[in-house]
Amino acid sequence: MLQTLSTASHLPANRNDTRGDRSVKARLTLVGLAGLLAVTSFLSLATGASDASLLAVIQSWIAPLTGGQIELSIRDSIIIHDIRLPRMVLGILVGASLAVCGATMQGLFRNPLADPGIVGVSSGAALGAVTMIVLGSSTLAPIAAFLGVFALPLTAFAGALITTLLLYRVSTQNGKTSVATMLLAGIALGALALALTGILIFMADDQQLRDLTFWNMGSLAGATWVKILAAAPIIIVVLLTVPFLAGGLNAMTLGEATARHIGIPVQGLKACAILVVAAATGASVAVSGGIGFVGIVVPHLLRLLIGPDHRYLLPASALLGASLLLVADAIARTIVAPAELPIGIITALVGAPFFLWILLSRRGFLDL
Amino acid sequence: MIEVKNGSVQIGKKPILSDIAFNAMPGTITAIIGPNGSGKTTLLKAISGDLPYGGSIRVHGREIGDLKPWEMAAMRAVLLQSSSLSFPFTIREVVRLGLTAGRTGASRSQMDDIVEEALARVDLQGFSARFYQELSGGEQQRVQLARVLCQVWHPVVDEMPRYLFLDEPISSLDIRHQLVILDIARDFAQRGGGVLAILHDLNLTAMYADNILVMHQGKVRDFGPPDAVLKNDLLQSVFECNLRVSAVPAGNNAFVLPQSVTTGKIHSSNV
Repeated sequence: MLQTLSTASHLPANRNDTRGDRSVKARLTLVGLAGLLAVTSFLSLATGASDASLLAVIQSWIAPLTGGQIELSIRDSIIIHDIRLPRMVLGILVGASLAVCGATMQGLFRNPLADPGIVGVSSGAALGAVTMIVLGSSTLAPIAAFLGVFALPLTAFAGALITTLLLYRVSTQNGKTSVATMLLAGIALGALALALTGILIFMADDQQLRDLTFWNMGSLAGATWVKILAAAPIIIVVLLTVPFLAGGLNAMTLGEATARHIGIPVQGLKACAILVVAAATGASVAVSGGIGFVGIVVPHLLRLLIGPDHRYLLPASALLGASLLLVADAIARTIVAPAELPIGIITALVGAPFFLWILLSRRGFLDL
Repeated sequence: MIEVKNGSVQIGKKPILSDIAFNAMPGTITAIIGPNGSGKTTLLKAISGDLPYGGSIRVHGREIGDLKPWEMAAMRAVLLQSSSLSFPFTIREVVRLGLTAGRTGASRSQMDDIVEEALARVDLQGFSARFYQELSGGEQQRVQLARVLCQVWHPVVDEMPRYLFLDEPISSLDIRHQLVILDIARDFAQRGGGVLAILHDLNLTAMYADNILVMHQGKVRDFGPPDAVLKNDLLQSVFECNLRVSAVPAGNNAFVLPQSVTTGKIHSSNV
């Protein structure tokens, strides 16, 4: 009874829709979120520590189309084209990836608290990346040379994949996932990854330490086109793949057995979801460090707004995640300008209380 | 037709079912009865394709171990004993999940009609915008049944009959809805589909079942029409309690009157 009440109390009010079909609302929301992303992208290009003129740059983009030409100051051109534009693109990619990974993992574990950042998958990815940063010039040099710019994303992917597989193995038995086991196993795996990362940091030299410290806090600073080249292919493939998982994830909310009865190849779906989450988490962590809570906050807000149908939830999460990260990044680099805060601090400041709120509102629903 | 021959299931090294053999014909309701732990649910799971099994289980002549999940989904729908839902879906959204597989031919508005009609059948008109988690256990069970009905909506497609597997479909329902659900099963069978249902209420079993499969200690104890199977000796030894089978005057249905948990001869003073 308590369970029913506490769950019902945070359900969105939807009484005026007599048929219970939220797909129209979901489509409208997708359009709105695309508009929001356009606005936040513009904001991301326009704000920053310097006063580069975005207007002049945009005029210089449009001018060739109309046959004219506008002289652009080299300073403005560099700031917009080589600093802010890659940063905006990276923000969109990473934000979309974090939110989609959160939504997919929550669908897979059938629980709104599953997020790569919370259950140790990001720590596993970080361990993979740190291994490559520290050992890439010595022990792993041949591998680093072979993989080129993809060395970091791929080792991070490997770390994330191993962690996710272990987590699923430990917390799922006979097709049922225990939330308590999942969270506790996530803490243990995260701690283990952190400890191993600590050993590697202990072995690192001064330059590597500087790289690591900055990267560990989570930041979009230092976004370059090379980094984007390394992460974008993986993230884009993932974003194009997840819509195909949506129907299966919807069926999975009824439990694994029922999903199979409905006709979903459950083992294949799980394997694919785990691969996709690990790949995108690895790529995001490799280029931006550990940015937490986007994967929790975004899907949860969207479920309140448009419901849990993954056909709409996944693309909506990508759009809102990208927007949210651009806004957080804009705050991170202007609030203490000309210095900047790591973006991970901003997302944690907002996300951690939000996480507690979810826990509070669903207390009866968890078997903790 | 569902044909089970020499069927067996073991979980780990422990044999749960052995020597299972029976046929369930389309157009009929086959009830599975037996005491708790006799293997009824395990049998239904094996036929649903959820468990590895020994021997042979065929649907439409095809061994179910060789079938893909979506091929199975086109032939049968399964209602589990208890169901859960992890995110706040509306009733309409839950029922619509039943149309996930094998309904690509139906248009959007046709699907909407199927959902509405399924809800009406289980006596839940006007519930489509409610949230699943708000409903009572019995109402949730009926929502799940509506979802299952959507999956095999037409009992016969391409001259191939569809099947409904129901694990204790009426255990959490009031008397009216017990009858509503069993009427749906009968209607489904009359239109050419096959129903396999685990039931505990022996009187309702007598009223609705065409055939009864009596499970006891992982084996089939008896299989046949109600008037052949529902006999004092058999039921008393399988369920280990005192009861008496008689006939309802009108309609000549078997009627089971429970008496006490003490097995053995009934004293004349108790009768």
